[in-house]
Amino acid sequence: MARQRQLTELHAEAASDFGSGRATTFDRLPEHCRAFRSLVRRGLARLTATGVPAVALASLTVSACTVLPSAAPRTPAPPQRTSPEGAPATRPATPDQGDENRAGAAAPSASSELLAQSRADRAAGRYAAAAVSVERALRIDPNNPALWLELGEIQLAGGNDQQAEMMARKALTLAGGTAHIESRAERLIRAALAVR
Amino acid sequence: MYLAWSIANEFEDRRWDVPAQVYSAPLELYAGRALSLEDLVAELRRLGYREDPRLLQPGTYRARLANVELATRSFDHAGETEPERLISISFAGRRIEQLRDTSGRAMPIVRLDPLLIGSLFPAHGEDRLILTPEQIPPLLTGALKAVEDRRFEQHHGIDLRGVLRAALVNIRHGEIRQGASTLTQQLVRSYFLDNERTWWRKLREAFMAVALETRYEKDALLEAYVNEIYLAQDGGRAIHGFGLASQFYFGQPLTELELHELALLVAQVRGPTFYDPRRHAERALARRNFVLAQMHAAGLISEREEREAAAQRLDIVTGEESRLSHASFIDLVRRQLAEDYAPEDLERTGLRVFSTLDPPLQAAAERALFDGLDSLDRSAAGLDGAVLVTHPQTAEVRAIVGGRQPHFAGFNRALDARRQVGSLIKPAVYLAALESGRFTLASLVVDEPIEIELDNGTVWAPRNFDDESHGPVPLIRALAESLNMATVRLGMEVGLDPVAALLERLGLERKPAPYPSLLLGSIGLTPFEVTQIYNTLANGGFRVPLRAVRAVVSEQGELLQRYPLEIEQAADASAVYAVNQALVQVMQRGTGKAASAALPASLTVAGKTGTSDEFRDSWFAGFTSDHLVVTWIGADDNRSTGLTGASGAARIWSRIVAGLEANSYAPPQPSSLPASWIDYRTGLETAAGCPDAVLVPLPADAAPGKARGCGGNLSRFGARIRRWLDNGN
Repeated sequence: MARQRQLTELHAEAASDFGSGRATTFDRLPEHCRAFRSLVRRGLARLTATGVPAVALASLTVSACTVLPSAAPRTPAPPQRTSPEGAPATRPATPDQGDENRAGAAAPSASSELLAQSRADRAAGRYAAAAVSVERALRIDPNNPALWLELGEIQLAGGNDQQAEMMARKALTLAGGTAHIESRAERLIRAALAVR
Repeated sequence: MYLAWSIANEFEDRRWDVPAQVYSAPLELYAGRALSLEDLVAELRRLGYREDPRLLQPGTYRARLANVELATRSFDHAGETEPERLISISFAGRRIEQLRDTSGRAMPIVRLDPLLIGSLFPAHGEDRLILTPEQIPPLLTGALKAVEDRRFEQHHGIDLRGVLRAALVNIRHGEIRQGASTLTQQLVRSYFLDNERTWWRKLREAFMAVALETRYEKDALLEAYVNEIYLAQDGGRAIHGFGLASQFYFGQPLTELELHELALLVAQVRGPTFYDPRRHAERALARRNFVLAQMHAAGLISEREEREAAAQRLDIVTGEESRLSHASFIDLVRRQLAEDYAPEDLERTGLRVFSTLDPPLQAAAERALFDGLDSLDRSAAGLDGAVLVTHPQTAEVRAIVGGRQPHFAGFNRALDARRQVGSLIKPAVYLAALESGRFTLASLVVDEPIEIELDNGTVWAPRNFDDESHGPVPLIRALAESLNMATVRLGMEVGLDPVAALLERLGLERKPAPYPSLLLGSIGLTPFEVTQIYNTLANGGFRVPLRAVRAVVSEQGELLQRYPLEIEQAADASAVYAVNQALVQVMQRGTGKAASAALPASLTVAGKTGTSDEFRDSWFAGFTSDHLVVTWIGADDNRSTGLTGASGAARIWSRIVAGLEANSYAPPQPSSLPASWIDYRTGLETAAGCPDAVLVPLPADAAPGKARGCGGNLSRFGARIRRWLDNGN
């Protein structure tokens, strides 16, 4: 019972992560878009955990933000090696996301499409197939913590609590201080440990 | 009669020995992917797609200015079928801008059919690719009948009229000159008998052929023939069946061959050695045109079709373009599968293996190694080398070059050459130090001569490469500049056992002997083992066994096994982050500076050089955000190459990385290690803008010593001038 509830909670949490897009995408949006995002997220909180409307809203947000005139400067370039700072403190923008935003494509990105496929398989209890789609997405976007969490949650659902915990720990190292990713990862770790 | 019965039975449960076929990773197409139009076209050609402005059948494409349209093939990717599609891809610079279907709707992601890269055939044996009846073009069976057995539909296994004619010829010459083998007899000969020409064998063959004919439909016999017959020789590998021959000569599935290509395959039936199109092009061409003429005579093709096809060139792919160039990688696939499958299963049961190989990257790695060795060879003859490329987060092996002759399945240096690693070991020493909690990257270690008495009573006194001492230096500089004396002092303080144990945790499958010389890498490791260790570093301290296989499917298409991603945290993530930042400094200020000069200035990479005693081995291991590349150069007889890691292997490494369209290595900073400015030379606290200021991840409670001003005698203004001079901006 308790485990089932934990899984449902995790799923809802995941859906809202998914809906809010990838942390990295949104963190790079101009201010007015963040405001828009919080609107979307509030709306999302009322939606169920299906994930699909979340994708639609997420892409809507992205498109809207690229269309709306913006006073905010463009995302700064990742730290350059020519500067003496050396180690950059933050992860640079994922290039494919940048291009996608520029193109204003209404299509979901490759990884959200794969994630949607994975969700469908996971809902039907096909955990191996669900993991295959997330692994495919990870080859494209390996530093996206939400994908690692997704894989960890599939592992937990499939009964592999040890891998679930490891995936959550991997996601934590990539979270870069994004609060909802960190809390989702910590929840997954607790759930994995609770099974043992 | 018993014989007939037993032959038929044997034929009934015929199991061709079908070696496992190995596929590459499929190319994934999606908006935003780094891929130029030229790269895509090169990949399509490799896959045997042909340019056809009409896009009439799967496996064709047309390229325009910044746009490629293609008709993809359908393919079963280990349980997920990707259907045939018509797609349009637009490019912006060296990236895919958009992917659309025929109705103009954007598509999120499409994967192409993978490249067949090889098979796990026995050392000396038959290799084939089985075709189902639908995969056999009627034109092929028509041509076979027209050329080899005109009365196939009428006879009962033997063609008596033909035999009489041949017998007359043979009697007249007193020896066997002419045969009148029916397709059925050829099948029997190939399937059951050796190739000896005697009257007795001829009789048995005829008998068996009749026996088969009484039991089987003509279509079943033709299907068997198409899959059985011997069509080419490739070293110790005998190519059987039209399915594999089509791949071998044209790099394409049989269904996509053009008329003149199909005719060339039919021409091979008579004698694959005699009519070898690579060795005897004229003979092969004449025989092909003979086949075309026979096809016309039999009414299979029009006169115009015959004329046009006969005017074509042979159009075969060179041996280099064919699948054999992946021998080093296939070797790894075979070894990894050997853990779960018996050799007989791999060599006979027709498994389909989905691997992780990235064909364009493999080609680029080969080119980089060959060109690099060629340019180095002027100073050092007889050099060889090895390259491995992985995707660190999934530990998938994307490319392997096992030596200068990758087409030759010989000594695989990438997997089997066990060589001294030199300074490549050092990150493990520093990681053990950071993990102990007693050191930070700003901690000072003394780079002065040190003497260590060994168990055997001798004294070990390592020196620096430049034979100089540098006094107290921060850890980050000692690693970046690969200082030997500082590293040995640090390692002795941390302890040899923790270092040896850490190497095991990072993925080394045997515990190294904890001698002091281990600290400077006097241990022999294969490039593959080095890659495993560095993959764990590049993956932030998470160990994933290097993988070459994603899934295995049976001949019937049933999924047998998946090899899912499984990770294990092997080292403290913050400590790994810090060591990797020191490896970034290797590239920016230390021994890897020259290697990064060949890369775009905006690209942040991490790496380490390695040089063994007397310059016997030159190593480089380095990574970007999503590629780890390890290169090694040395001579098989272990003589000196005269190369350091920086002057040899690093050059090949940067050739490969420069072609990658790579993303910077820039992981998020752990909250436990906020960045502080320290002076790279002294380790003292300093400020941004000071000369030699470097931003280093340090625990909040670490307190590097304070220095006045910029840690030197220079005023702020002076510092700015010096920086201006240094950077030229």
